[in-house]
Amino acid sequence: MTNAVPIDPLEAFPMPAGAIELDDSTAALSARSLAVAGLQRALRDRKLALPLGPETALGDPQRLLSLNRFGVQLATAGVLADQLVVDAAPWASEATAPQLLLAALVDEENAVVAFPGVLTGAEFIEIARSAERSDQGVLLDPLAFRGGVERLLSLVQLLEPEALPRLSLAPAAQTAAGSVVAVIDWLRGQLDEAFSALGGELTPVAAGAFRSGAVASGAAEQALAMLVIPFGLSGDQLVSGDAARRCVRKFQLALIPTGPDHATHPTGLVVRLSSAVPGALLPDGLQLDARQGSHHQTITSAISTELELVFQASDQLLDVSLRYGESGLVELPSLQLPG
Amino acid sequence: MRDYTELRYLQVSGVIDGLRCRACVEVVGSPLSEPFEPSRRVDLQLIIAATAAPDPLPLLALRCRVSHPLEAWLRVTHSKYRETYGLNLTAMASYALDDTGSLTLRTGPETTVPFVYAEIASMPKGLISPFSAEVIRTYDPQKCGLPHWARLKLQCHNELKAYFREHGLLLISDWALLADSSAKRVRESWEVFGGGGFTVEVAAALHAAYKPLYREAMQSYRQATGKASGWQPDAPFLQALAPEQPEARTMEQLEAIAAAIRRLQSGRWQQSSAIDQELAEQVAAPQPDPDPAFEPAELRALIDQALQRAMDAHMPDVVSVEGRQRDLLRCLWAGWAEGLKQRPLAKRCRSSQGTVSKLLKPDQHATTIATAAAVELKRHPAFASCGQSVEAAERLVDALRNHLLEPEREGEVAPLRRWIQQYLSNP
Repeated sequence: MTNAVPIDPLEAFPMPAGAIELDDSTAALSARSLAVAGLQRALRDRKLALPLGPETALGDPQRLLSLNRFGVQLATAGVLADQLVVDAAPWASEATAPQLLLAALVDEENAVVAFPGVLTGAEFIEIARSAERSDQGVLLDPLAFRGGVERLLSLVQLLEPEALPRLSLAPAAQTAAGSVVAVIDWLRGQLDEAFSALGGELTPVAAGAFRSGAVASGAAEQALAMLVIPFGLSGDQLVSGDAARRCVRKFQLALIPTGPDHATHPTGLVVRLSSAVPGALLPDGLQLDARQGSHHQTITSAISTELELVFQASDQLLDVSLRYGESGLVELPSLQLPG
Repeated sequence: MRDYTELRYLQVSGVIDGLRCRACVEVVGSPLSEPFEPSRRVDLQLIIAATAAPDPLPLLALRCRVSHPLEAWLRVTHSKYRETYGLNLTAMASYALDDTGSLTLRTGPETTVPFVYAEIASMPKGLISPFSAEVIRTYDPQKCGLPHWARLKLQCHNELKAYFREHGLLLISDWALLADSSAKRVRESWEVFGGGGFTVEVAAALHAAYKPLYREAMQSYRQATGKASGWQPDAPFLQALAPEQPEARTMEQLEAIAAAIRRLQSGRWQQSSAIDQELAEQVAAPQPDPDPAFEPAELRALIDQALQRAMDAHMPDVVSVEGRQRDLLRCLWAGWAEGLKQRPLAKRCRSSQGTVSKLLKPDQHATTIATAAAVELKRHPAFASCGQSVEAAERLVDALRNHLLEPEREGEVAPLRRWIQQYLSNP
């Protein structure tokens, strides 16, 4: 714990490249308003008369900016920040998602604003899927942004708005809701893209897996395949895939088609949620929900080590979802069990 | 003893010197048994003496006491940044070591009052002169030691901050530094540079509680004062932050964490400075890749015309700024147009590398020009694809920018440098 390295503390910090110094009249402004003032100054310095709005709500952190007809989310942090929180709310649906995400590092004490750069919607989605999350949003390193304010100004001047689609951060499976996956494919080793995007993997059906609790004892001898999807809680956010593997609270959803030995068609499906650590408790409040025609089952964890639902093959599609609180809902694609 | 009996101050000649205060020897020596070291206990005794009676001498001893850490901070900071950022010690000292040891305080063109505690305490809020008086009158012994308080006040000295900004540096308070830092950085800093006074878990928990409270406190402070600089944690803040321990302990812990972060950042700054220097030498130079169906010579002419128009529109205001930096800017641009790098440029124009970096920004201007030219070129069918894809748009802007900055053939002058040479020779 003690430090043997003789190193002086840094008393002053180099101004970031391209930093914009604002005048004293901005002293009482919030970080967001300072960032907007910095952007307006950047436009003025370049003599760019690009429309910037919403005119009456530029300082409102809940609102997207509109710059030359592009929806721009402005995320601010301190000038020395090593982590920037991006409000995930606008990214919940394509209707509200921004096209560009601009990072602003603001030194309120010195009225200085630096723009490390911008991410397009697609770039943000790619980074955010594996990024850490908190209650406030997605946590990104400011170094993830590139190009400074120059990149923003180049893109909004050169691109047609439709060249930057509005993309949702909702899990891939959620956007794939409505599609139908044939469970029988799993027996042939084929996995649908929507499940792969969730980090799902087909795993060998071994006796050890049953003993570890992945399959209900009654179904153990009848398991024909097993699809395991990793989930986790990052803050209050339900995440899957790589993001889930980095969580402290992690668990897995196993989908297990069952049937007589060597059957080529499953006759049932076990849906089982358990901790990633065998025997450990699940977080309370996880809700596993499944609907097959008029048959609807819901089960919620409360000092539980596992949640399990069992279904028989039928002509009806099976819809499974996992929910945690208000902030997390993952809907799997509809499953087709041959009737 | 010297800490209380010698005032460090800036002479009119620009030299920092010591002024012996014989009367202070008696003030400090009489109630205290020898030998003694400068300490909080002595500071408190002097504060009590200064507030109890309108006697200027205990206050003068405190002014001496404050001047030493101020000088130490100035010298360390100056020495660290002098070469790269061109800081001047005399200029820095003029903000902090402006106390000449007078026993009267000027309150108007022809009015003075005794330099006693009651007088400085009754002055309106806001920075008062000399700076040592401002340090002492705002000092709360419950929070921290007087030398440390002097440093904290210096960090938020608005005029000193403006001087630093002018030279490309930011003075940032411990409080903003803590608020800017993530939990990960705090843990890393404390594990490497923590003094061992408390565990990394304690540091992380205190920091986690600090951030939301700081945001609230800063909002209130901004609304109440109209300022964003100068906030210091008060007793209710420290109490709310860690109700289970004395406020002074909480303050010490926050300062210790901030110091650890500063040390961590110091190491990174040294590394990144070296890397930046290397990177500055490397420039990739992709070429524009318009639709091959069009005649290259025609496209080349289009590009050259678009760039020329964009330079003509943008650069005159950049190179010909009126005001006190006019001559410096012209010198810098002229040297840059000749191909000088940052260090020789700073030397030729009697400036610092920090100032050169802050004032010149040729890459930024080249990007602005390249974007303006690209907007014009996009109207031509050969470049229309740059409106439809991020990659195409960025490829075009990158190529135009690099064309502006790099000569096509050895011995030629890059277009932006050539434009500046011509402009400066025919103003």
